[in-house]
Amino acid sequence: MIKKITVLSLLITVAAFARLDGAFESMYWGVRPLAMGGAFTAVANDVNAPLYNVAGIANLSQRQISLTASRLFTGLEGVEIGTNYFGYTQPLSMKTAKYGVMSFAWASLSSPGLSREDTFNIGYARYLNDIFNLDTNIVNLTAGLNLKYLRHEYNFNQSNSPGLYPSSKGGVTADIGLLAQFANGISVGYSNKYLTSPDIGFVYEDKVENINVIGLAYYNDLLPSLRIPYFTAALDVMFRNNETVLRVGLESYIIDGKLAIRTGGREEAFDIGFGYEFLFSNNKKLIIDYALEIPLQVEESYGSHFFGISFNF
Amino acid sequence: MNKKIKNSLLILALAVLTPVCMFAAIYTYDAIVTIGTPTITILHTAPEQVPPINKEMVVVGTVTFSESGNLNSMDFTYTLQGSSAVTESVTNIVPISATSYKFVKAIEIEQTSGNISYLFSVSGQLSGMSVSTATALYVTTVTATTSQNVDPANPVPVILESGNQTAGNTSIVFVNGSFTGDQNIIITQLDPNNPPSFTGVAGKAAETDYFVALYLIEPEGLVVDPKATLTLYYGDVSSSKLFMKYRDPDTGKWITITDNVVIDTNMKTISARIGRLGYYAVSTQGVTPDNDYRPLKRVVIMGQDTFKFENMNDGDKLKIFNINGKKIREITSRGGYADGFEWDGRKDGGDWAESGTYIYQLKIQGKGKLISGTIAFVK
Repeated sequence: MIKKITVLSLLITVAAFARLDGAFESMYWGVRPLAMGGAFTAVANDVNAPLYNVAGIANLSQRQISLTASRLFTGLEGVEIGTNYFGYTQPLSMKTAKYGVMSFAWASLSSPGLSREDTFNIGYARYLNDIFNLDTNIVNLTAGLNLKYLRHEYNFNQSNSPGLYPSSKGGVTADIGLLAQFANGISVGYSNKYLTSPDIGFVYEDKVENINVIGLAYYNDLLPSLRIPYFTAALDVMFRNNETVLRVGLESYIIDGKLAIRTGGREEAFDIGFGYEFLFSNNKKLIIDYALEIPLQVEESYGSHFFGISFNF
Repeated sequence: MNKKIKNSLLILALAVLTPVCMFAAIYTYDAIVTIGTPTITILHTAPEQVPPINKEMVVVGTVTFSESGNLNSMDFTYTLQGSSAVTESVTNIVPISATSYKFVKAIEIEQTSGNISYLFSVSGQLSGMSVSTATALYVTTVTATTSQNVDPANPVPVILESGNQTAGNTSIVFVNGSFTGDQNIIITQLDPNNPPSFTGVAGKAAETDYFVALYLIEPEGLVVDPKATLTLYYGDVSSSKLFMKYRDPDTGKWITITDNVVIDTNMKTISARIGRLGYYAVSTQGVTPDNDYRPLKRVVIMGQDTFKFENMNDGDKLKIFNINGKKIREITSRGGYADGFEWDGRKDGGDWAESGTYIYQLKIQGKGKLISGTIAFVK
């Protein structure tokens, strides 16, 4: 048991100190995580988990599918940037969790006529309590692995070198994630993204930068004293190259747990959002989400708007 | 003296006096008719051309009476290409002396080529007599182009008539030695609503919305040194502020000419000294348009080029944000780039930025709103 934990700790430590230069730094995936400021590594309990902490999908007992579209930095003439996200999770068995859960995700960021980034993602996650003989009444430990293909393209007709370079470059890499959910409502998550730092440079070496995120979250059905129902507070600390980014988020479900209100932020943006769940028979659920991100450094923008629809079945 | 002699002398006298009297009578009669018949003279020179874009021909002339009298009527009969003759009264007639009048006549034209033919007819009451006259047929060509072979050693002006004889013309006047070798100089008037394409940011260049006249002076790009004087006819414009703009053939950007620009509101012309032939426009918008600040090359490869934000001066501000909205670079002075600001792709700390899409925001002194856009930096 101690040996296994030691090996796992070493793996995490080695990954955490791998810092390289690279691309794919956007943080715009999933409406619910966005409304929580992007602090989702230790929450990771829905179809948005694959791009935050793939370990989280191990706890999903239903199939979930989600679509997100956004328009970034609206109100700025000359700025046209949009994102799309598609996610799907599939438990390998609907009867037992021991086979784990798979996920498929596609995330895209594009500025028409200029550039585009796509991430194709296949993930798998499983709980580890049986391997480490952990008491489920104390902690629920899950781990996951993403295989991903990254692709970015640019319109070199808008450069001084039209036709000299291929319009797109891609690379294969992987993420790993760990999530420990303790019975007292505290969760700790860890995600290491772009493990292999693939070179996606057109002219020079351009390795996708490795990202390490440590997340901390607290959940309570009814927050003591303040009596906030279905309350979640989350904190992510992201390490990327020489940069550290702090992200915080809050969430509460009101109206019998149907209406979610969320807020969060990071140094350069403030987020708010809501979601509404429509319950059907057999525990099926349709969820509509909206998030507004208000940039704090970019001026004169009406903000970035995110719309999402999810279905759990 | 006998009777025969008297008769002979009488016959001789009659023979001499009769032709003299007849001549005198005839001479006297001719003098009376020639001096006393009132006449009307119409003086007019037709424009050689009318550019179809102006959609109007305005002609002027004078009517002169040989003696004082009243001008009863003046008609203008014209034939447009493919149409039958139309006769209209000339109503804009102003006396300029006791026996002279100045007239102005304007007609609308829709044809884009061919000819316009016309004549004037006048009737008046002079010394109690009714007098009428008509001119011969004038012919004007509808064309937007004129060309002239110009010898740099002895340059002649190249003129594109406006078709409006109450105003000025479009012309270019060279000085000796402005270029080498004979050049066929061509002036073409173009539709200001359809200017040549802008090669920068996708979409219509906003500044061209303000064009009221547009010309192409060829050969495009010909350097003229010493500079030539270019005069552009701009027609009827309500705005009191007008600007001459030049399209840089290398960048496609429209640049406002600021030095020694002369506007003649009577002649409806704007003049400036120019050093290069090409596209010139008259615009009611003089401030530098947003697109003139934006970088033409929106994708830059690390170390091979830089993003160039032209027309920016010290005190202006350029901010670069990454896709997450975090500011990574701020520039407030020109540095090594003489025409504006440039960003080479480095962050404030000196490290190269990552490949990806970036947002820029420009704060220009004296300009209200920020100018924003997207660029991509690639390794």
